[in-house]
Amino acid sequence: MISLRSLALVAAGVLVLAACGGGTGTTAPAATATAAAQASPTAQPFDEAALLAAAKKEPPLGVLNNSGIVTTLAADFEKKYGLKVNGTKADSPTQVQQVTREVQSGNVTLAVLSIEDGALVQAQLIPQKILVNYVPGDMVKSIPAEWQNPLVQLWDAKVIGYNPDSYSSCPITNLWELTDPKWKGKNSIRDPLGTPEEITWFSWLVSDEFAPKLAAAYQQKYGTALQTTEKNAGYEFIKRWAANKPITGKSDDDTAAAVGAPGQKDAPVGVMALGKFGEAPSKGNKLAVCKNVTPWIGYAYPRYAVTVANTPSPNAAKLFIHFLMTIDGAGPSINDHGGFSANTDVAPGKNEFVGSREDWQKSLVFLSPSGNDRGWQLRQALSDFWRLSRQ
Amino acid sequence: MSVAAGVADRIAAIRLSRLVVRARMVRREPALLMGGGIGLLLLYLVIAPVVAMLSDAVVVQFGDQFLVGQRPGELTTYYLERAFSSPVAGLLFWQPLLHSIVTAFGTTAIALALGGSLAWLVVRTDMPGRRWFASAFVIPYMMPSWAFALAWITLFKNRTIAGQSGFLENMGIQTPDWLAYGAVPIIVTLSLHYFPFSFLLVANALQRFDVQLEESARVLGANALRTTVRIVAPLMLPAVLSAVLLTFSRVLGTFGTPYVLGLPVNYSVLSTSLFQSFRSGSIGVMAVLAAVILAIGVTVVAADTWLLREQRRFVTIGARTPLERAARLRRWWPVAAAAAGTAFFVSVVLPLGTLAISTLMRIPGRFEWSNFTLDFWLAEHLPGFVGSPFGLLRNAELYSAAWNSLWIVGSAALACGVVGLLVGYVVVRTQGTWLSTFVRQVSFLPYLVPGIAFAAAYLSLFAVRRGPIPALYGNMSLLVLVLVVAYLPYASRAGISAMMQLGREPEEAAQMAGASWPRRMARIVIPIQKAALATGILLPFISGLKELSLVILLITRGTDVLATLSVRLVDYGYAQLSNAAVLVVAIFAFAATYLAQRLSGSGLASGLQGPGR
Repeated sequence: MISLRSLALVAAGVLVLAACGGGTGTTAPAATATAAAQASPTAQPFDEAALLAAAKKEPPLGVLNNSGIVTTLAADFEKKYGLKVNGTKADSPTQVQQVTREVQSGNVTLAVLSIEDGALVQAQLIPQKILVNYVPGDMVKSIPAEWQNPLVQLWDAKVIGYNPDSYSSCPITNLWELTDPKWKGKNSIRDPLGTPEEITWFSWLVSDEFAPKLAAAYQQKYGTALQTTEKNAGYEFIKRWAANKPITGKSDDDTAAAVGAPGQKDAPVGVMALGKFGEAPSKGNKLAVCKNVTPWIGYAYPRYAVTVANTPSPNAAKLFIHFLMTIDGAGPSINDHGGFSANTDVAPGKNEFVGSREDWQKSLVFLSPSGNDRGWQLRQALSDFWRLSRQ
Repeated sequence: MSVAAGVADRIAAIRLSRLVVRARMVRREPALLMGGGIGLLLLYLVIAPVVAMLSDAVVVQFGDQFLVGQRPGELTTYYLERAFSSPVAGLLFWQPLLHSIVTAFGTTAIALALGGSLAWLVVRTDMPGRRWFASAFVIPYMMPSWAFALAWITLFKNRTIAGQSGFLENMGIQTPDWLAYGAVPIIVTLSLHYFPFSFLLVANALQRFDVQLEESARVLGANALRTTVRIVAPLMLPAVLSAVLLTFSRVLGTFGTPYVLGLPVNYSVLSTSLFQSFRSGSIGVMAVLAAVILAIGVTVVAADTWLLREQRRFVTIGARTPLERAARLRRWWPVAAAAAGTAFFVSVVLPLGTLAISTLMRIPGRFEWSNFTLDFWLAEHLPGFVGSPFGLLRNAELYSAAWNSLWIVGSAALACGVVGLLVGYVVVRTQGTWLSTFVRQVSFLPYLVPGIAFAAAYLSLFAVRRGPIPALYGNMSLLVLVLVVAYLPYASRAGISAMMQLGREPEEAAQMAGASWPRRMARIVIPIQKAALATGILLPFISGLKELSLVILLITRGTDVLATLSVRLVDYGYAQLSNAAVLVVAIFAFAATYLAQRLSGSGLASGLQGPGR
C-alpha cells in the first residue's frame, strides 16, 4: 500500500517536472499559429498520368468520411486506379481529433478527409496547416468559385421526416411546432452537443438573414408577434426546441429508428439526412419526408473534401479528390442518398431527392461556406446555449 | 577561511570515497544500476504523463486563442473557470461529479454486500455446489463491463431515446425512464460486473480467518454481536477496504457503461464528460476533469491507508485450524442455494443470453419465427447497414481488430510480466534504500489512476515530439505502452511478493561459480519465478482484452481493437452487430481465462487483491 509520505514525495516530483515540462508541451503548435493568414491555395494543373505514376509508389491512402459510403468509394477507386484505399466512416469530431493529432505528432497516416464540419476546417484546420485545400486544375471552371476554398464535394440535406404508419401525411406544417407541447419528447435530432453540424445550422438560424424568417413564421402560425427576451427569433426557437425534450441520438440512424420504427401510433418527427429515407425499407423503418413546412423543411449542407498536410500519399490524395469530383465519386452518394455534386459538370443523380442549388436555396436553409467563420465563432456559445436551455 | 576550505576538502574526499564504494557495489550488484534505470523509466512513463496532463489544464491550448483571448502556451485560468464556475460548469463538471460519486458509492455498496454475502455462503456454510459457485462467481468480471450495459439497454430501452426500442417495450411493456437509463441501471450493471472483487477478497480473507479466534471469544463469554464487532470485523477490514478501494476507483474511471446507459439521457459522469470534452476538442477542460478524477482516486487510496494504519502494527499469529467449521444451513439450504443460483443467473446467464438472442432478431423482442435470422453473424450483405454492411463474421474488420487485440494486449502483457519481475528484483535486492521505496511506490501508482484519466495523460504527453522522444500518437506502440504501465501494478506486485520469498543464496552460489548477471537471471531467477511471471503476464492479458476506458482516447480509425469495434458499432446504432461484437470480446476473455487457469494452476483471486498488500 502506498503511504502518504511517498505520495507527498511523488507530488513534489510532479511539481518539479511540471515546472520544466509545462513549456515544452505547447511550443510545437505555436510554431504553426502564425500561418493563419495563409492565402487561399490556388488550383493546380491536373495531370492524371503523372499523378498516377507517382501515386503507385505511395502507401495506401487513408480516408475518413462522415458517410459510410466511403467503403463503396474505396472499392471503386481501387478498381479504377489500382490504388489501395483504407476508407473508414468517422464523424467530424473523430476526424478532427485524429487528423490534428496525426499532423502534430508527425505520424500521418491519413490523406483525405471527406468532412462536414466546414466551420472548423475553414476557421482552424486550414489556417493551422493541418489540412491543405486542393482543387483539381481541370475543374476550376465547373465548380462555383465560392465552393472552392475549402473545396465542396457535394451537397446533402437534412429534412424533417415522419412515420407514415402513424400519420397519413406530415403532421406538422410549421417549424415552430417542434417547440409545441404536443411534440414534447416526440421530436428528434442528432445530438447537437455530440456533433458540430447541427450547431452550424443553428448559427444560420440566429443570423440576421434567417432569424426574421423564423419570426415571420411564428406570426403566421400563432397570429401574434413573437415575444422574446433573447437576441432574436432564432435564439428563441433554439431555446424552446431544446426545452421541448428532443430525442437526441448519436447519429441520424438513431433518429431514423426513433421516428421510423414500424407500428407506432404516435411516432415522433425528426430531422435527418436524406440517405435515411432511402435506406428505410431495407432497415424496416417507415419514413417519409415532410414536404411542406414553413419556413423551411430543413437545411442543405456541404461535405468538403480536403487533403491532409504532410500525408505520405500526396499524389494519390490529389487523384482521390479528383475522383470524388467526378460522377464516379459522386454517383454512389447522389444516386443512393440524394443531393448533388459541387461540380456542375456532374449530371444530377437518379433519385427522388435530386437537389439543385436553385431549389435548395429556396426551400432549405442553405449552409454556404461563407457562413463558416461565423459558425465557428458562435460554436461554443451556441453549444452552451443549447446545453443550458435543455435542462 | 583556510580552515573552512580544509573542512570542505575533507568532506569532498569522504564523499568521493563513498562514491567509490558505491560504484563497486553497483558493479557487484546490478540491481542498483537497474533500479536507477527502472526508476527513471517509471518517472517518465508514470509521473510525466500526469504532469503533462495537469499542465494542459492551466495553459492555453492551441486553437483556443479566440475563446480565451490569450496566446497558446500562456498560463490561463480559463479552463478552470469554465469547469468550476461558468454558467455551464454545472453541466460540465458539478453534475457529472455528483453522478460519479452517486454511482461509485452505490456500486461499491451493492457489490460489497452481494460479493460479501456470497463469499460467506461459499466459504463458511455447507451450501451445496460451493466449489462450483466459487469459480462461477468470477465469470462476471471476465466479461467486458459494458456488456452488461448493452444487455440492459437491449432489454429495457424505451422510446425516450432514439434508436430501436428494447425487448420489453416491443412486447408492450413500457419501461419507465428511471429503470431504463441513468443512475439505477448504471449502479446495477456495474455492481454485477464488479462484485467478484468483493467476492474474491472477502472469500480469501474468510478462508484464512482462524475460527479459533472466534471460538476463544465465545468461550471467554462474548456474545455473537460482540464477537463480530471486536474479532471478525477488524480482521476482515483489510479485505473489505481492498474491495471498496478497487471497486470505487474502477467505477470512477469506467467509460463504457455510463456511455451506453447515461449519456443518451444526459446523465453524464466525470468519465463521459471528459470524453465529450475530448471529442469537442476542449483539451483544457478535459485535463481539468482528468485531474479531478485523479484527485478523487488519490483521496480514496489515502483514506484507505489511513484507515488501515492500525492494522499494520500487529500480526495475528495462530495456527490455521484444519477443521472446517461451516455454519450448518439445515433447512435453509434451498434458500441459500437459490440465492446463489439467482446471483449467477442474473450476473452471467441473463446478460449473455440477452445479448446472444438479440443478435438473432431483426426487431428486438418480437418472438416470432420470421423475426429470427443469422444474418447479423453470417449475411454477405446487410442492406442499410452503411459502413458495416455484412454479418459480423464476414466483416474483415472483426478479424483485424481481433488480431490487433491479441498482439497489442499480448505484447503488452508479456512486457508487463517481465518488467514486473524486474521491479520485484530491484525492490527486493535494494531493500532499505530510497530507490527501492521509490520504484515500488511509483510502479503501484497507475493502480490509483482511473483508466480514462490515465489515457488522457498519455494523450497529453505523447501527442507531440518532446526532445528525443517521438510523438507516439497514431502508433500502435502507444497502446502497448499505456497497457504495460497501467497493468504494471498487478505484475510488479506478483514480482515483489515472489522475489521476497527467494533468498540471495541461489544467485550468490551462481555468482561464485562465475555466472554473469544476465546468465543468473536467465538460468536461476526466471526459472524459479516462472509462476509469478505467468501471473504477471496473464492477469494483464485478461484485463487488457476487455479494456475500453484506457484505449478509447488513444485509438485511431482503421486500427480498432475488439473493444473499440464494439463501441463504434454502438455509435452507428447497429445494436445487433455491437452486441455480437461484445460477445466475441467475452469469448476471447473467457478463453484467455481458461487458458490462464490451466497454465498457472492458480485462481485469479490472489492476483486481483490490491497491490501493496
